[in-house]
Amino acid sequence: MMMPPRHRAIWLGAVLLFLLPLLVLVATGYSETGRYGMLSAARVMLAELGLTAPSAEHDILKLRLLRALCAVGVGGSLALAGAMTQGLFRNPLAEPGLLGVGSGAMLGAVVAIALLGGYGPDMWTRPQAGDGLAAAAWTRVVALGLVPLLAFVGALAATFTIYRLATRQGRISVAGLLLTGLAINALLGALMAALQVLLLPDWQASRAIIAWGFGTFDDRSLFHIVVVWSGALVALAAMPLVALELDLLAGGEDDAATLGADPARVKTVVLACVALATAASVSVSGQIAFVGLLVPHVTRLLVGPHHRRLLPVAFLAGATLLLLVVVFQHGLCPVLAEWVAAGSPRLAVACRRVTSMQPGALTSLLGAPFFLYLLLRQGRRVLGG
Amino acid sequence: MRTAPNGTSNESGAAALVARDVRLTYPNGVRALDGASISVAPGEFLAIIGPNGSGKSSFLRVLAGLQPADSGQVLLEGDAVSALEARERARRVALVPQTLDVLPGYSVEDFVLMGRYSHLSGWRLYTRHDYEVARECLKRVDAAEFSTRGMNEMSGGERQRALVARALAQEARTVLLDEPTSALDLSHQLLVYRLIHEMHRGAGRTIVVVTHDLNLASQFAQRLALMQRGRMVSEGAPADVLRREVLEKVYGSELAYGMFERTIAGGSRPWVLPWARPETSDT
Repeated sequence: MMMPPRHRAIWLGAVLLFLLPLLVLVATGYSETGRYGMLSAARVMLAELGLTAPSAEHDILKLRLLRALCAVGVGGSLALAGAMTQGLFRNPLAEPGLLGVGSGAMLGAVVAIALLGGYGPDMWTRPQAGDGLAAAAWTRVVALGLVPLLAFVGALAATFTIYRLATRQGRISVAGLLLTGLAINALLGALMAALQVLLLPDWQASRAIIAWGFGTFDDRSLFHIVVVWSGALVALAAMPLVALELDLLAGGEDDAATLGADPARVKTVVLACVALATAASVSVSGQIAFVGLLVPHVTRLLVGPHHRRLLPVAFLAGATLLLLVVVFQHGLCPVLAEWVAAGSPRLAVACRRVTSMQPGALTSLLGAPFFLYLLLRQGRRVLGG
Repeated sequence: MRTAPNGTSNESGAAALVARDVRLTYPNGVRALDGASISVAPGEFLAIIGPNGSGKSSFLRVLAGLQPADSGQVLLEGDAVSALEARERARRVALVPQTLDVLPGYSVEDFVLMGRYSHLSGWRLYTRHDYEVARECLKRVDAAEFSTRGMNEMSGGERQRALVARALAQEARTVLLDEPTSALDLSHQLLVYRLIHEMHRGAGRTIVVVTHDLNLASQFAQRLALMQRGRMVSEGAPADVLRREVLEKVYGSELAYGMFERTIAGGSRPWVLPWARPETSDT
């Protein structure tokens, strides 16, 4: 590990770039609903383009491919947004959630779920009996789009409110942003709790809210993928505009300004990217904890703080991590369950349970102890900022 | 050395930096600047001195273009500093902060390269030339041997060298320094002023330093400007400003006066020290 950080960044980036498509193939080919080989993803795409006839398992494989693409987009977006936030706030403990993106999206989603009375694939894949065809199509669109839409609106509204409240005389202070964020997050959390309590009698809605709260990539449609990747692409495209400037911010805003950077412009671009990318992710997959905090942090330890290396590698690392979670849950756990089935039926049941766990819960389960370990190992460096 | 590609402002004999009647009141009602004016000739070394709260640092921030004034004018090489685009401004004026907390992970060389930001072209990639300039500037301040070490592992003196090297790498004709010695021991105070002297004499920069230290200012600067309550109360050669009649009004009467016989800037210069004069027994 005594490689210079610059070389380490290139190596890590190359390995991740190689690993990502491989994991997409694995995630599409292998899961608890059957193993169809590494080329399944290619078969789905050929069939979708109308070049070959769809296979019998086409629908299952398509859902798996979408799940994998969703995980890649969400993981990359959250990690990239986290890296940008930490650079802007000059604090390795900052994360997009401070800007109200998460709680705003959650409140929007809860409102939408309350209006719909639930949220799940049965609402957009099967036409409802008795409806006319056009009406059925319309209900499906509403059922599919309302939760992401309101979550997206909620995320941006919360971020914008915090941004406005923290702006004084045209200048935005980082401390002001943190404090305002804290207050608004608390308010949104309280509103959400109240709504959830009111919705408790509605079993269907409550279940959907809890599931959404921990995040899921299951049963995503092409629409979800487009939303996630739009946000991710905006943030990726903005990377070259802010990477070097975020480095200049290492000595503070005034110092960056004397070097010729425009801290106000950097702040606006970064906050817009973070809000868009995170809102797109959270509105599609719900809350995935710790990726936006942990992945950039660990990436920085490996490749150094230079944002030209940090931002792209963090994106790849976040995407890989969530894809690994998907492969672990749906690829590895069913296999493990089979292996141990004869010896210990209970362990097999546990393994199968992990398969249906929310990936957001899994990232918390793995992320929190790891983060604690990092804090203890180099507490001074992390806390001293 | 490359200079800013802007010919409009380089009339011969124009001042490097002019401030006219600058006023500034902070939102909390504190009036920091109340008609401050100064004119700095190209290649001059000016020290702005004055008691705590006299507005020195605010004035420096206005001169650097970091803080817009409420009224008045600041001209940098003939152009209003507030109207200059950020990178153009950075090519003309550099600011050396008092201290700087840099996030971990950046080496001294990374830090000095940041001074090249305003010279980068469209893709904002450091060129071979930028690396050469950075290396030269590090050599100039005797910092070449620790260029690969982390910026936040530096001792106070090493950090000051890196700060000066970065300002040199910026290749701005005017360099402003904010209280460069206030946190340093005696030997490091001298080191910093030798670095400033090198920027002035060796690299030909126009220097404006804001400082509490009358004696270092007296030894090194060509001209002093004494500030009180947001404006200049005295201006001129050190011997004209560091006089009993002038300083007593600003700092009170408990001061002792003397002369450095010879100084690095040439000739003799006055010194001033605080002196708790005991009551004489026979009065």
